[in-house]
Amino acid sequence: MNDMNEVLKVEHLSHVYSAGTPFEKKAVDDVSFTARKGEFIGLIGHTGSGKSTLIQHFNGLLKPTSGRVLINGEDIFQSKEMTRAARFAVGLVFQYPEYQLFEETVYADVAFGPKNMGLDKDEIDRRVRENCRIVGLPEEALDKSPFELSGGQKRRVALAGIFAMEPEVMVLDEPMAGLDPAGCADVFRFIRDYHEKHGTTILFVTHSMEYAAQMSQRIVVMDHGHILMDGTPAEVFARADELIAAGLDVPQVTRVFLELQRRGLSVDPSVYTVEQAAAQLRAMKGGARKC
Amino acid sequence: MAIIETRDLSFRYDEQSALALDGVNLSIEEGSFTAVLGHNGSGKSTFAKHLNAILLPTGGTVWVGGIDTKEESRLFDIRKTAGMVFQNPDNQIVANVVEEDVAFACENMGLPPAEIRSRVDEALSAVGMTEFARHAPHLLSGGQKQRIAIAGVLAMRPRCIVMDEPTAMLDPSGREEVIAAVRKLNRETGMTVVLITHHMDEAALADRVIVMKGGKVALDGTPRQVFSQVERMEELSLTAPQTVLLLRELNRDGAGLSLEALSPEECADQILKYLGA
Amino acid sequence: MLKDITLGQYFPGNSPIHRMDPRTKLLALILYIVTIFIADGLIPYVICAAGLVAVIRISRIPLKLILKSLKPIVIIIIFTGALNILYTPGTELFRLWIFRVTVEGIRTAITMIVRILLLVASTSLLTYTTSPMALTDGLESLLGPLKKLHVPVHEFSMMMSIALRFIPTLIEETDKIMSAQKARGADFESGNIFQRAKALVPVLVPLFISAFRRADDLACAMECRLYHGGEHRTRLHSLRYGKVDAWGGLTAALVCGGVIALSFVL
Repeated sequence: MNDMNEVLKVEHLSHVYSAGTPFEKKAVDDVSFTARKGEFIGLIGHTGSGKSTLIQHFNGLLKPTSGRVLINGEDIFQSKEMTRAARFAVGLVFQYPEYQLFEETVYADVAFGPKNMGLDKDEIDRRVRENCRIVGLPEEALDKSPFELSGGQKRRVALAGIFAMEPEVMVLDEPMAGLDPAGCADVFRFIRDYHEKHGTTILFVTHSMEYAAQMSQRIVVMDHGHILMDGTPAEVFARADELIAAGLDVPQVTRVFLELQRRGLSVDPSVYTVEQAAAQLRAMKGGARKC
Repeated sequence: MAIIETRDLSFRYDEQSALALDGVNLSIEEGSFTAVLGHNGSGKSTFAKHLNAILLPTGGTVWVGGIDTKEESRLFDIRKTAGMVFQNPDNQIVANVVEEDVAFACENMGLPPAEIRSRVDEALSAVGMTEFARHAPHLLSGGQKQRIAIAGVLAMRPRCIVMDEPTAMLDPSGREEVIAAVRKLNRETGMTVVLITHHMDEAALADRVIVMKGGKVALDGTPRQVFSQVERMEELSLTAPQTVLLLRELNRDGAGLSLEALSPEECADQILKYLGA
Repeated sequence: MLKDITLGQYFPGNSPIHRMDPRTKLLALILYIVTIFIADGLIPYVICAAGLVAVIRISRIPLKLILKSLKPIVIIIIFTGALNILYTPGTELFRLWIFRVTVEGIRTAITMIVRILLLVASTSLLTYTTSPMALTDGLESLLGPLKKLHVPVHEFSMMMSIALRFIPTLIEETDKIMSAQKARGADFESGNIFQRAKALVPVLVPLFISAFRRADDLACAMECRLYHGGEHRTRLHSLRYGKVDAWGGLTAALVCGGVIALSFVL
């Protein structure tokens, strides 16, 4: 029996590039993974860890060399129709998505996905307006050319374009890449707002542990085509030294606590926010006073 | 005179637009490593483009190596003094082979092939890319491409290297590679570095941090001085490093810790003090 | 997919043919092509073919690769062959429906096919053994005298080498944009030719915009690295003729000259 909550399931998936040539490369190696309805998952790994290859299987853009991809229990490669349905069930936002904008107006560009889905005009209109609002684009921007907008605003248009498809699962590949801190904070907020509003399952791909920890209830770490860890942020950060060894950027407070541990203090290095760190240190000081 | 001087530097892109730079007075010492921080639209990239005469001031003056950038006849001298590295690593590599790309500026200078050869080898080794000399650039990682771009500038033997957000498009390991290469250059050869960035942790490695806002210099000092002004940083909507934030949080209990801690080690020192160990 | 296309295929190596100056190779190729179009008779063609095979062996390029380069022109060969067989007047050999097949027809057909095969094989040998950059430099140098007639030779060669540099980048970018649009439900695989052409708009518009942005950035980066056109420009690898070129050039001249002479004598 299939658990109805398992919206996206990957079974023993492997992907080999250029099989049978000297350039053969196993990018994903026997990965099994399940995303449940409404989950917010951080998928992290350095460049070349296989995360970008993995996510392109979720909506059928890449076909696994072996293994299966199931959406709501159905194999997406069982028929052409299923593969096409997977495109709409799983929304995929690529890195630097503003490079895919092409229409004459913001409105038309955001409507491109919903139109391809064959929705009626009223529904398209609702989705375009609603999702442009979520990403903070003012009404008057809808009739502008997307190419007149600033870099940060173009990113918003591109995000709205996928948001408007209202997929069951949304995969975002480094949605903050190249933005300044204010731009990052904005995108961060839109994604959270969208998640709250629609209860969509979200897979957030990043190499920043800091973002992953702030947003997700669950973190999946990939390394060399394998899943290295899968758990709550606290569980993952408890193995902070392994994360650093895998070439990942851990938050500075985590590094501070690792340093304290190295100096012989019995601290728990699975902290990743300033508040957690301060609370732990205060508790330690309080405890010390009692002695 | 300092290697870069600006006096009342102002700039607007066109008549109607607001000032992108508004009375900037700065002087950058030879051999220093300066980071320029700021949001998009703060004027930091516009500032960088003035150091290489890509843009010319609409008001005030910029001197690079003592030359006024408005002197058209000395454009090449200015560009030879202050080399420029840009954001997108792909869009500044001209040639099909790494060493030919590094040679590009020397070829334009009309140097004899033997001289070019020795400069190219020297520049590649300075950024640790010697073994990639015969590679095709498009097969390299972002960090490697950016190091090639740096080598291409180094081959001109500039006195100063200006980098306009060279790490914005790189992943953490690429960023680390590039910043390590730049620090090494600054320390070992005394190359003046001006690094435009929006990453606090990169700025923390510089000798001096300049924060820009609205085309003006908002903060200027050593990383410790700048980052410990948490409130002022927040006003400029920049987040201070977590180490500083943690110590400030502990100071709410009246711990009286020094906020000038940027590395995990320095922060741990302060925490030990806090815990009374 | 798109990544499988390899334009201007070059197989690095260190054979004498690889080490030869691109100008020598270009000139030798031109001479060779002229020869195969002048040559007449069985023996001259046998010599031409044998010469090419010898050069291929020296270059250590696998014969398989050369044969692979001939694959795309099979249709042209069949077409040329058929046309020559069916339309050349002369002594009738036999009739095929309304066509007369002649001795001369078969002879011309075979000659034409051999010429095309040798032409394509020798040209691919040049691109296999010469890097695109070297080829561009060679062309620039050979066409140098045209500069006096104000032909922008340097500019053309710079354009060509930048194009070569950016082809892989743009191919990768096209792949990425196609994936991104597919993720938004774009369909490139079904429909008639007009629908398919229309489906490419969401790929071509972003691709052009990105290419223009790259061109802008690159122009600025080149100026910052003191680019000012071809005047007073030197090169890291300046082209220089060596011993290989002397021997190679001499051999090519002798063989080709011999073949031409032989064709007139016979």
